[in-house]
Amino acid sequence: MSLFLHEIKANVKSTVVWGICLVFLIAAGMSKYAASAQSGQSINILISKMPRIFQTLFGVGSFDLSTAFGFYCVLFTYITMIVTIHATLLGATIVSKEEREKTSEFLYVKPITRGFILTQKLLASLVLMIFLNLVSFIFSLLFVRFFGKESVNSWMIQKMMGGAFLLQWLFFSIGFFCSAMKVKAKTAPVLASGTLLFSFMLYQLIMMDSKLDWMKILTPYAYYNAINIISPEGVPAIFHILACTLILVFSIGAFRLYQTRDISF
Amino acid sequence: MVSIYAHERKMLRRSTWSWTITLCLLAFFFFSLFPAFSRDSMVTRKLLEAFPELIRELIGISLNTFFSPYGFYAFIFAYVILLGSIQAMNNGLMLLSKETRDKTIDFLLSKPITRYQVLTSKILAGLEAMVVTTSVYTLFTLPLVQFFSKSPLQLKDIFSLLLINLSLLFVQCIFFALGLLLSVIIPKIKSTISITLITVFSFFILDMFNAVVDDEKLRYILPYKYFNPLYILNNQSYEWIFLVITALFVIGAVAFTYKLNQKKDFLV
Repeated sequence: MSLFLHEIKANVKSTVVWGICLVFLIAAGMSKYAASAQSGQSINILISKMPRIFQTLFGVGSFDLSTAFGFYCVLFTYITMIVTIHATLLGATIVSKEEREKTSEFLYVKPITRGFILTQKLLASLVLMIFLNLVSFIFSLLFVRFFGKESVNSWMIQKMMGGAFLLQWLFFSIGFFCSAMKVKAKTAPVLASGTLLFSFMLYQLIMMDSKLDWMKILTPYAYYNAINIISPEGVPAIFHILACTLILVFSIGAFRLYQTRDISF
Repeated sequence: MVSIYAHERKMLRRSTWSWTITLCLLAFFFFSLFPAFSRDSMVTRKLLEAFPELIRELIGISLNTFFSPYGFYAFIFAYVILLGSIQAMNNGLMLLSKETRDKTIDFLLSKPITRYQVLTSKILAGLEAMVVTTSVYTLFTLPLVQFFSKSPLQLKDIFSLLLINLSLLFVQCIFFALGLLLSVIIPKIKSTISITLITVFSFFILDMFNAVVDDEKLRYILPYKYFNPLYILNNQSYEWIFLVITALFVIGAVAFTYKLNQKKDFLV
């Protein structure tokens, strides 16, 4: 239990900073909506009629930008980006930092197993990720209500945040896996961030051309994007299965690899 | 002093080449969508033509450049700049802070060289990495864009392309200087990549979000907006005011880094 609390305490400050960044992003984004609702209306309608590649290049999707919720859907891409960056880095550093800061000797001579250590770290991270997710949920709801004139479907925002949470967990597992692999402790965050950047760039690429749709399974960002979540059919089952499988595979992989990892001092 | 420079160069070599290759691959894959872009451009062109010219000018779209390969390149360049600035800022943050993290700072500072010399060699090594990346990237993209362009080779366009690619170096310098400055301000840096990612993505998101409705005042604090590729394509020049801002910021940040580094209390 003390390890769990220790990890929470060690990471709570940075998580709060991420939360503040998120609140700022949502506030800035939605106030932009208020500004554009008055002046830029015509340009937004124009963009909504364009082919997909242009919408992606302009940084907006096929959303109805004249409503606060449509505008929020554009913002959602960036919210997921922020929370997944947080999750990736958390996963990649929470285990490897012990080696980096030369505290592993201290930790591993305690009468606890490696499995126990990982479990505590995993639980602490889940709490931190849920915290960040709740912050973005509450402030999303608040600002969409505040700036939008029409009533807001809070169930939709709940579903979107649920998707964001699965993405957080998935990217966390990737980071977690990287830090349990048999590489230098320094390399783990680099590997994990590389995976994240690759997924992001691939997602942008796929969004430009419908011919590339088959590649969607390769990037988690395409599983739970606003388009999928708000569509009447919802997120395809295959993506749910893929996300859960990947989380399981990476987490179990991390636990197994870590058992035999050679800790350098 | 020379030996520190040589050492830093060696440390950076692998990362510099991986970044350079990544940037080239990125440009290649995004640019391979150009056929899709031109296929869809007829619809968009009609849409845009229906709009008063005033509004088109307002969002910086000149129809002929916009739909050319160079116009498309101007758009995908945003992603290249994003990755390039991650490289630069991470280097800026890492060069000094890694000595503290790896507990090699006492070794380094006990050598008979001044802190000025240490910092100078490190900055030179970082600068070299960015120059290598930009040059190799430019050598790769010139034929790439030319390959997709069906119109005959025009000196004007090539010059614009060079200017656009050179702006990669300028933006990298901004983020490199910012990284250097932060590395002497923050007492203990645990993970450079965390600080880099959150800073760079914050600017990127603000930039993407600003693209829909332009806000002139916000431009001055968004480095990604300093060198607008579409403006460069239309005018074959930079907006001078932003070039001046870039120079002032970089010089100021580096000067402050020297000053703070001189008095910095290293936590060993």
